[in-house]
Amino acid sequence: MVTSFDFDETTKPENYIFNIVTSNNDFEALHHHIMERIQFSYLRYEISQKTRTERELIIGRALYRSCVSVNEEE
Amino acid sequence: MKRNNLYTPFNISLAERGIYDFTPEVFDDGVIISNMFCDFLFLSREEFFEFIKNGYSTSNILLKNKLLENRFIYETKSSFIETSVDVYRKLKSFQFVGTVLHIFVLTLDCNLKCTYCQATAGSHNCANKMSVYVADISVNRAFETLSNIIDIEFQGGEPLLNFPILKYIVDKSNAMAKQRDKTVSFSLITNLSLLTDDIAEYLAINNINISVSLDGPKDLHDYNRPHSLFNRSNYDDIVRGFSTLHKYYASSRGRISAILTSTKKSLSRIDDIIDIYEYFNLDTISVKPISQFGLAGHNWDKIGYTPSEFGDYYYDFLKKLLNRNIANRSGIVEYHARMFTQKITNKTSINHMEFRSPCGAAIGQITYNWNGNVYTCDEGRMLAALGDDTFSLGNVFDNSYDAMMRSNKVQAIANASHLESLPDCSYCVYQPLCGVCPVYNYSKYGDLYRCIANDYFCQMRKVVFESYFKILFNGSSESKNKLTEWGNT
Repeated sequence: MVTSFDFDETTKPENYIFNIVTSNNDFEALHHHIMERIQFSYLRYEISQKTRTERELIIGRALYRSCVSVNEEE
Repeated sequence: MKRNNLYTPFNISLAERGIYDFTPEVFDDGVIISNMFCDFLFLSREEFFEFIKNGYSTSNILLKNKLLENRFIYETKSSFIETSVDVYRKLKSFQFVGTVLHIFVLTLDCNLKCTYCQATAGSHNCANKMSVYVADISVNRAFETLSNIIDIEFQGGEPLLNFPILKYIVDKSNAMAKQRDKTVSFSLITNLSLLTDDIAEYLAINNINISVSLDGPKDLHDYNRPHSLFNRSNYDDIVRGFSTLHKYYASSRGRISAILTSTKKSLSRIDDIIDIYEYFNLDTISVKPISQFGLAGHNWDKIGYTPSEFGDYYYDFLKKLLNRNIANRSGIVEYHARMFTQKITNKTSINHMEFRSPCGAAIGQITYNWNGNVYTCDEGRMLAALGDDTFSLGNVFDNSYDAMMRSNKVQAIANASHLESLPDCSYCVYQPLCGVCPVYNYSKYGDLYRCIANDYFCQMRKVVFESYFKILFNGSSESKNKLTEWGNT
């Protein structure tokens, strides 16, 4: 069982740091865990790229409406 | 377990499937997903892959309704954007109100010497007290805020050591609020050791909220919070103080609450702590880890704990409180759990300075030190007490509120605590509920932006979120219902 896994990708790729603690040396579970983490990171990146326009529209309109209502109150 | 499926890149076309931006994270046997509207869902792995594969076109109606209701999928993009704007705006509305919380440090003197003191107090030399002159100008500065609501919080040291100035500030602020058509409220953080009938009467008449530091039963409380000069018990002060307060607060609009600071010795005393809070008729317990500022850092071996120890403590605390609530033995709610529920279910803009993005430094709270120096927040003032003035915005004599707010420091701190643009935080599933502290980052790493996933601060936050969601998603139905009810209290 993987009890702790830390993947520091803030440094250069050649200096990736893995810090792994397992309680029973289950390397199949470890492999699964690592691949899942990498896949989720990739998925998160992909989603964030593909929904950028929608996010900008929502944040922009929210900002606009808030500024308009502030001016109306004044 | 369909492990092999996991290794294939998803390669998805989100727009075609009506899927909106979300963050996934493995959670127990399933996946937890969140989005920028503070919607959270727990999905089984099968549901998660169905969601990714088919999005809006899924034939699983139950799943589809769940995803639609929580803004993870949409039917038409334009109407989705239109209806989502106000939810997002509501969640972030704290950014448009100006500085609400104004902390007045009336004195650095204190008659206690707490093991975890963040204010590096403990002296009793009467030299570090706010004067009428400083108080007068500080109130003027506070009323320069754009906010129509002003919350003045009295801190120290022990603020009641400078009670005449507290009275001056309350009286002047009430008068100014009337003149300028603003609403002002007051909170006093105190150890109650100096409370007299006259003081209690004044506080009650002026509807001043009282926050008492109460760490649990007598032995635990007095161990954490010993008197600095006399061999007496602060717990006994509190017993006397609560009885005096209750005499005068029956008809006051001021609230009496308590602040719990949990040390290593608290971890095995959950039931005792809840018993004491029930005994004093308190309705909220705020279970939070000690910060490593000030004396706490020096005494860490004696009072500190690991994130996983704190996580177990928080989880047990929540479970015990919920069980007592369910059995009608107690009406006490846990502050953070309630705040998370309010954000998730009601989309309430909670102006808690440490759990918002950007953080509350300067734009949500500001601290006026006893000598007129102004800091972005209380943590910034604590750092200054250790000799580093980085978070100083100037002083009340030379700098207007407007000039301080427009300073580069305020902009830098707002940028540095904007979770949506911090590399590690922006991809974290708990980001919609979280917040970072640039003062912590700076004091620990010498860098405002150095927000490292999985450092002590981050781990402490994660264990709290994990405990909360473990109960919300996988707890008993009574616990889930009670946790949801807390959002409406």
